[in-house]
Amino acid sequence: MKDRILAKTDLASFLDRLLKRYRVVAPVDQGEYSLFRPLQRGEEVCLDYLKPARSAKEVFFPQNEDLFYFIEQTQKCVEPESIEKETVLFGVRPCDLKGIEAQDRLFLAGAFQDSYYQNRRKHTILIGLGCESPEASCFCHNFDIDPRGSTVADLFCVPIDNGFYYVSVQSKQGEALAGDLQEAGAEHAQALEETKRRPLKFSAERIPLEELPGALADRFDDPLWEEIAMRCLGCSTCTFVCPTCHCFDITDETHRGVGRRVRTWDSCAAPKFTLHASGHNPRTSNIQRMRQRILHKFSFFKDNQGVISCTGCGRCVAACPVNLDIREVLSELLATKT
Amino acid sequence: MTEEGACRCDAEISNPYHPWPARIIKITEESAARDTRTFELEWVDPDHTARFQHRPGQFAELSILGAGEAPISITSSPTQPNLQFCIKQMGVVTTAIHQRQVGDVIGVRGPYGNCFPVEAMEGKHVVFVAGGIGLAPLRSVINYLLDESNRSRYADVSILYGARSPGDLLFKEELKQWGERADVQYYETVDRAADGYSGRVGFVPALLEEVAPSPADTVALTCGPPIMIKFVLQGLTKLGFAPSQIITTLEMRMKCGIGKCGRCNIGRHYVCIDGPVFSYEQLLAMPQEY
Amino acid sequence: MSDCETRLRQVAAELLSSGQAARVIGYGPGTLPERTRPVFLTKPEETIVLVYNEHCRNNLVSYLMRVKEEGKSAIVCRPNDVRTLVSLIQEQQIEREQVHVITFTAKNADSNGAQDAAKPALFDTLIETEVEFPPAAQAELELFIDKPGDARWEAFKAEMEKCIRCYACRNACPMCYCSECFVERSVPRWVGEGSDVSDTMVFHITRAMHLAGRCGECNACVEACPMNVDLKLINRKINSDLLELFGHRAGVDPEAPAALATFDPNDYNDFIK
Repeated sequence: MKDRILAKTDLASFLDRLLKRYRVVAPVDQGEYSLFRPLQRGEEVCLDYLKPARSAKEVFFPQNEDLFYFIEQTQKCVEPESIEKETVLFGVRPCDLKGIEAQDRLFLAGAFQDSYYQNRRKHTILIGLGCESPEASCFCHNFDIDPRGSTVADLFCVPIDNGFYYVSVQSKQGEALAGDLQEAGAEHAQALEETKRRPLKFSAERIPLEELPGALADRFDDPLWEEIAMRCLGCSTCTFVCPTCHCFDITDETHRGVGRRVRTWDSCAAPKFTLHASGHNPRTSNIQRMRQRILHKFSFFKDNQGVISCTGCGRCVAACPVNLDIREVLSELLATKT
Repeated sequence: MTEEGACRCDAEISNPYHPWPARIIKITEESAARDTRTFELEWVDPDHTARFQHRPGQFAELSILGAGEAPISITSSPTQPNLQFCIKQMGVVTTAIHQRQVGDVIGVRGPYGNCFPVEAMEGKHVVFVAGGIGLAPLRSVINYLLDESNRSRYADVSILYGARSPGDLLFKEELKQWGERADVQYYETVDRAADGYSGRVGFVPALLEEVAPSPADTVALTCGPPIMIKFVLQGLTKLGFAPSQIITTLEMRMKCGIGKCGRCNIGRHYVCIDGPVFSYEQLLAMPQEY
Repeated sequence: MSDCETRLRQVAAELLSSGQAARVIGYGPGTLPERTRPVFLTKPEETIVLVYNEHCRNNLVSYLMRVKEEGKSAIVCRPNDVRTLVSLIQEQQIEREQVHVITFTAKNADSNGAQDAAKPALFDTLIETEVEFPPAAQAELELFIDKPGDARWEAFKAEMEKCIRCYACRNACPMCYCSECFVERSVPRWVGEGSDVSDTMVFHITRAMHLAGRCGECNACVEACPMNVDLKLINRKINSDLLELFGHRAGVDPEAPAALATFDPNDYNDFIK
């Protein structure tokens, strides 16, 4: 599988060619931010923003997923049509690719596999996109992430000099997409090396995350949590924009005897998340819920799924209405360990 | 949307959210308050009988399309012919189930969760301490132990059970049978007596203190209202039971039942995967958020 | 650091060191460019972090509800935040004596209503500032109102389609203090979960109705929204209706009765046919 190059000015036409064979999803301008949306035409792709305001998780784990439809009276149900057309997901930054990897470990591993996630995932080909410079909220340098490379993607495009992308072909499916692109020559490979050698400047220092699980385990009853949770509004913004958060709800909706069972995004930060039918609620305070969220993402998920449930994309930092900064929270938790 | 019709079989194998249809063949009113019923089910698809193999302590997500799902422990032992669920009416789904009649079809997903450590318990004495609806999950393992294919592998079996009033005692027919068996010590109590009741009166923890089982080579299994569990744990500890010798089963709000939705997460455990059966030793190591 | 911030820090430090306030709730520098964040200060030396600039985008009044049982709070309020505090006091959620209000007045108080007239309805400390929080343009509201019904609905729906039901708007709003929000109730389920636009519209319309006569146009909801939904659309329309029908503006007059909780024999009744 030979690597390729693609001129930035040819990106739209490359996507148009893909559109002839595939459904193509890519960042599309929404006015003040971009979101991953299906393209009608290649020129709709928008790379003006470093990354879309919400992560790539919604391509595989949408906010609303009809599990099946039913008739109440007969109690019979049918599933939605399975996916027929392959999708190409273009423009996924390494932080979001790492997010997909984390979600794969949750939805596709263990005693049960999530068939809805699996269906979308196996019918999607990933084209990753390297970063040229981080935003103030980015902190992927903490998570074993190379902003200019990822093996999760089928194709990975790194912007190199002279207005080109160096396209690493990393799978047979990637090869099928990139077959008509010009092969990369030695000079391009060298330009790639030079690009990768250029240091990237992050606004925050590296946090020693390896020390986290131990530090967090000791901290459960620490009064620090109250301080951390003080400004938190208890909304679900951080959870929803996050590439790795995966909590969901399942509810039945009916109208005149016909209905659907639908899966929707939920958040452990929501007050009623753990409420029992009896009225008992194990986590009644915002402090308990905030603690649960952080411990789950930075300790328990690692225990169960093998990776920390965070990729340093910084969306939570940017989107939080009260600028609750997870980087600061983690540093505080590490700093005061006894 | 495809045409209405029977559920697609190919989806059932790979789709973990798709309930399997089961017909209600018997409903037993368990409590005088008429809020607790045992539903006995039979699979609509005979294939499912062989494919749904559960172990004592596991639960299933019961589904009423239009109302939702609820996690209910399987009260029947795998040694019994049909699946049984003992359900207290509490919220939307359990109310919808209670409105069903014999012949109606409901959905079942499972079996989920871990199970009581019946292998590790072999050769030991087993003490059951149950209160109210807490007897329902324990009954699966009681009947498993008492089944003639298993009984000889366990030493003494004692059952301590109490309810608010005589009318609230569950599985009344079975309680009588347990009481009549030579190889079981059955003790019963009620919080308050009623006319015609001649048995013991008092709370379950008091009964435990009275019976005072020895912890030597013994495992204690307990389930009941939180307040009862609290005092039973204290009582067992006082009798010399180590936390690893005490087993209980947790109730938790659940949705997917398969460790994906995050709702039943406590510490590093998902109650639907690593539980609902936990030892007291494990509970002590978990955040007290259940 | 501006004069206004110097004064602010002085006042805050004074209030804490004299014991007049148990805490100061104000704005401190954020961790990202052009951001500030709520800070909760209990020691005089901490007040050095206080800032006041055009990046102050939260309404800190909502935090008062959490700490009202725990001694007097000094609170930094932008001019329209004061309106929400007035409404909370009118609704008997907060007592006047529980708060020391630090707010601001335009250095050159002009008459274009930029900060709701020169003097806010309520204050304990008034600091002059050049920082302005200009209200949303009247032209923008008129553009929306002038649309015919269908077009207005489409414009509203387009905004609703952006909403992801994170409830940042509701949680940022000091007037939303119900211990259980109607969207959290499942028996009966008033609103579906997820971001289906019809459910989203029910949520926002209902919330706007709950805010009718109470919304102080502090803009906290708009600033909180991660998806830049134009949440002020309906609230401004309702507020302008209330001004027209009842001569009422929320939170500008501590003595004025709540418009929708008061019966006046002179209320219009031409809807009775």
